[in-house]
Amino acid sequence: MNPAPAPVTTADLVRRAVREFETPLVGYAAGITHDYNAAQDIVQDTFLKLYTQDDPARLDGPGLKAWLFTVCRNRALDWLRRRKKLVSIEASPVDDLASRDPGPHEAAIDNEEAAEILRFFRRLPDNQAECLRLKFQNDLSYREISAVTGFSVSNVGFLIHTGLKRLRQLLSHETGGAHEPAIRITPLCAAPHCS
Amino acid sequence: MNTSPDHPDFTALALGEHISGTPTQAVLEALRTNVAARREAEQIRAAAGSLAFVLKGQPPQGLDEARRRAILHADSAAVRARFAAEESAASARESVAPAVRRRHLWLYPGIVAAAAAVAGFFVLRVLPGYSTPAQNSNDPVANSEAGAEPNGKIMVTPASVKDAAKPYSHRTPPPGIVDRSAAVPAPEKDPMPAPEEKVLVKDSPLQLPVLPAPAPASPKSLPAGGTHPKLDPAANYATPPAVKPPKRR
Repeated sequence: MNPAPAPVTTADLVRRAVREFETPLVGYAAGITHDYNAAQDIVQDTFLKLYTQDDPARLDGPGLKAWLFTVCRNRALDWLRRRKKLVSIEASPVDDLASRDPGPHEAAIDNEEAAEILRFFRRLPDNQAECLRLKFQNDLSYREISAVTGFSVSNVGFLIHTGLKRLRQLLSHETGGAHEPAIRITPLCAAPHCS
Repeated sequence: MNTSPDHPDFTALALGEHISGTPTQAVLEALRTNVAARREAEQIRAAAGSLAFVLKGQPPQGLDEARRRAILHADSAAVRARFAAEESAASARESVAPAVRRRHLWLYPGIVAAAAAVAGFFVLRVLPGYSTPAQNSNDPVANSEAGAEPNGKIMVTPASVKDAAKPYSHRTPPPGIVDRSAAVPAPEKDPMPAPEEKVLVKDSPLQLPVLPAPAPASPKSLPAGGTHPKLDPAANYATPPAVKPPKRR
């Protein structure tokens, strides 16, 4: 006779969330705020919000990832809104430029083409960049991205399609017409129809 | 499902996602056999792979040790109290905003009504043949043109009726209004001459009169040969026919 599984406590849920999603969430928040310190504060608050949940077992599953990214996104956007008010009052463009400086991770990139891809990626509109980051950096599905961002699934598909198309155009223009980038990666999709 | 390579459905299929429902086997087979579609899907996956490599390959950004410790050893009650205070402050801000908006709610219908009145005034001014009641009653010139009777009644003049009957481009615009919509200016005279008039082309090297078009021949007047006795297709009408001198007696 198998013993019943131990009930999930909030502490267990928080430990699992920090172990699995600490790095992806900080990268996601930094992509929105362009401020590494602010991203850490936002992610800290995101994990602390788990303590306010009455039923931690409900989140212990595939829904935890979408919940964490949703909370993180909302807090990041709140931070941006508060910051924009401060910037408009103080009228200090220097601070805005400072927040746009590349973080330590971007400065450490040696691969020239990777730096180029990142440079073109930063030129994309915010909503396209956000959907691409959620899809390709954090491996969220279209439906999960729709749940996190509030966009419809078809809108998510449109943003990813348009963002990838724009990225390919910029890379093709930069490489003088070569459509395929130099970095060759095996297909992401393992489904039969992708072969 | 749209399987055009330039459609988001195609990109989703290439990435293993579905937007407009699960694709049928026929659609998948068609994509597998279409060489151009396969090449496009490969390029999409290559671009996606490159982007994923770059985004994931960045040096890991995690929380610093102090923040991580604060999360793992947080006091649940204190955290709940803190977030409750944040939410009450946020709801208090939102409750003030609607009251401020309600105070100025009367402004919006007023602005809309004023804009509609101004727009209606300009529309009526631009419309042709419009004359204000003040003009009709007091202006002697307008009254004479309008044919107002001494008793104050306003008559519709033949001139205004004729003007209204003309095409819009030929109407006389009201004074002070420049009719920019007319593509053709009002002609002073009929530009097309009557068919029976001869038009002499001046200052041309060959000053030839243009002969009127011959009258169409009725089938009954045609001889058995099929040609009209007076209109010979073989004749050259550019040169005048030879005139025989009268016979001398």
